[in-house]
Amino acid sequence: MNRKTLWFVLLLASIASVAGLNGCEGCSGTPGAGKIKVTISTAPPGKMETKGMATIAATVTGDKKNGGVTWSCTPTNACGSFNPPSSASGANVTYTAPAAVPAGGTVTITATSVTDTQISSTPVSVTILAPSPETFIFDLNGLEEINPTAGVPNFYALAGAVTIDLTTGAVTGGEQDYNDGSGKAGFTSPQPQGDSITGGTLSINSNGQGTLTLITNNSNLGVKGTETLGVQFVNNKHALVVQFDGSATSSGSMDLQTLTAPSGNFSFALTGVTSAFEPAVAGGVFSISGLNLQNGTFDFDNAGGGGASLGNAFSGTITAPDAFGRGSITSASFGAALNYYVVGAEVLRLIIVDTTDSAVGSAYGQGAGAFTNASLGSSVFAIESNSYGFNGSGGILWATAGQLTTSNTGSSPADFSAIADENENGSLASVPPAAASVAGTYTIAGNGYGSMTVTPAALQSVSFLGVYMVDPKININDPNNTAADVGGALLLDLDAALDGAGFLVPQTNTSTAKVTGSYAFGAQDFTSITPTGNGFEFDFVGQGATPISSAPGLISDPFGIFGKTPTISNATFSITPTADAGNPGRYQPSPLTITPQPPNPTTPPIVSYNPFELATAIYQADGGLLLWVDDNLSTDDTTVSIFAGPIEQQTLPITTPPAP
Amino acid sequence: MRRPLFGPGLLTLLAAVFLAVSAGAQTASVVARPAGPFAYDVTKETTINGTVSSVLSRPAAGMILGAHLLVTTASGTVDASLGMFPFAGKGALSVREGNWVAITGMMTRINGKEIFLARTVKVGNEVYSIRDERGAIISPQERERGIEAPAEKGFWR
Repeated sequence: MNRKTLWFVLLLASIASVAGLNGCEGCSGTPGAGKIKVTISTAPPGKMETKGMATIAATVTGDKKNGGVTWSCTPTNACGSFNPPSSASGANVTYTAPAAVPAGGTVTITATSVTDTQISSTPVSVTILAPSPETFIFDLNGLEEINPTAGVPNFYALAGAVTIDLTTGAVTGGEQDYNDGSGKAGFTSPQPQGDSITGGTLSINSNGQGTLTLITNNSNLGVKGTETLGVQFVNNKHALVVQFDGSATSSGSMDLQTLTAPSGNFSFALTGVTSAFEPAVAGGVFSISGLNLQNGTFDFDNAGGGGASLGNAFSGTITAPDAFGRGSITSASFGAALNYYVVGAEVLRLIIVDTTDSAVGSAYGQGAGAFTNASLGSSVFAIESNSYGFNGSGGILWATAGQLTTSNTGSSPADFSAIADENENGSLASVPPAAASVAGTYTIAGNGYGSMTVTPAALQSVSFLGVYMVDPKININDPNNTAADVGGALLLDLDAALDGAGFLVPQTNTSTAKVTGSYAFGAQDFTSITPTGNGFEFDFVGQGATPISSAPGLISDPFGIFGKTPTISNATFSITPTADAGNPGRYQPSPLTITPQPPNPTTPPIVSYNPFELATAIYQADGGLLLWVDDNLSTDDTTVSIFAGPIEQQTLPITTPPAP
Repeated sequence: MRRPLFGPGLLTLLAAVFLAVSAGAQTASVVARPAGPFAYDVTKETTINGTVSSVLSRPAAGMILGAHLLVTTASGTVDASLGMFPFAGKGALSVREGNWVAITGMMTRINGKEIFLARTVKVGNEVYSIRDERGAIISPQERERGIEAPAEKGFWR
């Protein structure tokens, strides 16, 4: 080969390299770029539902400029989105499937080199599916505005199942049980069929806040048979809810259902009223085998001054769940007719459906069981009376939240010590900013049935609690989220002057740094400020990034505490918690500022209490869950206000329900 | 004097045994607990007499929840707590400023202030029941229905 030939061969080789003709798929010969290759290293699943999300990533090799990739898909404008739209090699990107199934039913995803836009990955195809309607289970309790007895609002409970087409938000069916115990026809849903839910709409924004209307066949309820719930989704499977139509106000939750027949060991707790409308709670343990309810033990307290009735045996039968997961429980020894709704294999919502008494609550599976005193460790807790707490012997509306540690767990009884904030009708257990110091003993039997005895007077009227352990793998607040905040127990206050229901969950991380991101919150507030001196409850939900500042929320106010608007959609909430240096996990009482309406409202004006400030202490289980309690340091000293409630870390954006 | 074989004493004893057996069939144990500042103790009852100076359907500043009567007595003004809805329903309390009242109840101390937990209020010849002897508020629903307190009847009813 002479010199001219050699130069010619070298020139051809160079051209071939530049043109990418060297047999390297996805490689580049761009001068200065090296041989670039793009590979989708984390691919999306082969099938996704509309609006579903997946983490994807692309790896780029041979790119000396480290330019990363840009993401694209087809069919254009109907294939979904990427966040961020460009990424470094190996970096995760969130792919969100399109809101509707595209023509052809598939999308194709490609990553393209930024350095050399001629180089792309092998495309990945994803089949997009329309989600099936999903069923959610809801339960609430509170105070009615409709159907008063002698002008006085009744306690009421509501539980049900609603099926929602998540592509449109349309309610496609459901059933429910409503019960105000008034004995008036229509205000206890007819049994055994209950009320039918025939339609409605779920409409929320990307932060998970909005409304769910439920059109029922019971014209007595809601507004001419249509109930509206204010909803605040925490994640795609769990929401805090309030009744939000002026007919009543209440707080509760709504959770995605996985339908299965109930079976195994359960603990449970209910809160409600007796036929004398004394506040009442019941709780304990039972097991279900086939259609038999057996091995039941329950405690009952109507705060009637005679003390609680403990350790009552009960048994009965259940019916199999229907297509919405609803069934009934018959137990003469329990003394009330119950219905249940299946949330999942280990979670049931319970509601009493007698016509002259009413209660609602939950049952949670206990897993493998075999509990001991050591099953209870460091925990946070919250307990609140229901809206008829004032009708007990002490006449007390009250709430508490706190944190406890255990010791001598090998002994019986074991010991605990705690700090707590507690409020009885505006009488506080401690002088803020201090918390009350509490100590006592407890026992937990092998079946998870237990009790706690509290040092007399440390928490005012609170001296004796029922403790009913749940499966250490269950999240009491958010049953579909088993990644955190699992385990704990249901709690009942079983005192002579008062009663109440609540729960405790393990306290696993008290670092303030863990409190980050967005949180959903809610509470059921009992107050003395109602202008008419009649109804006394309002309920709210909201959400915002920490620290909570002008966070948007919904207030249900049928009794006119804030004015003439029974459903306030443009309220804001602000609180800047101060960590209690001496008690990691506690945040000292800080003002929770509720602004029912912005300045210069255009809708009917707020009469008073705009803003409304409530001193609120907070206890942290971990970054995912905090509990707050109203410590009643209002700037307006005529105000008695009482609440306890959850603050739950959100997973955003909320994609399951449709954006409006 | 010989007492009749089946006199009131024995009947009372038999009734007590029957009630105990009935209760035992239903109740594993009944535990009375110390009950804090709002606890009602019928053995500590007293009666105050005086003139009503204010009828408050909702609390004034610093008061606990519910309705109140301010009563001027020989030893000063007493804040009588009436619970949430004493003025509603069948047999509801009817009282006005200036009425002379005799209130039976128990004095307690809440939030550093003395409060009289009223069980009955006598206005003229009428006696109104506010609480029962256990201290449980008698609700408008209970007055409307004229039912017994559930502690005597069962768990929920």
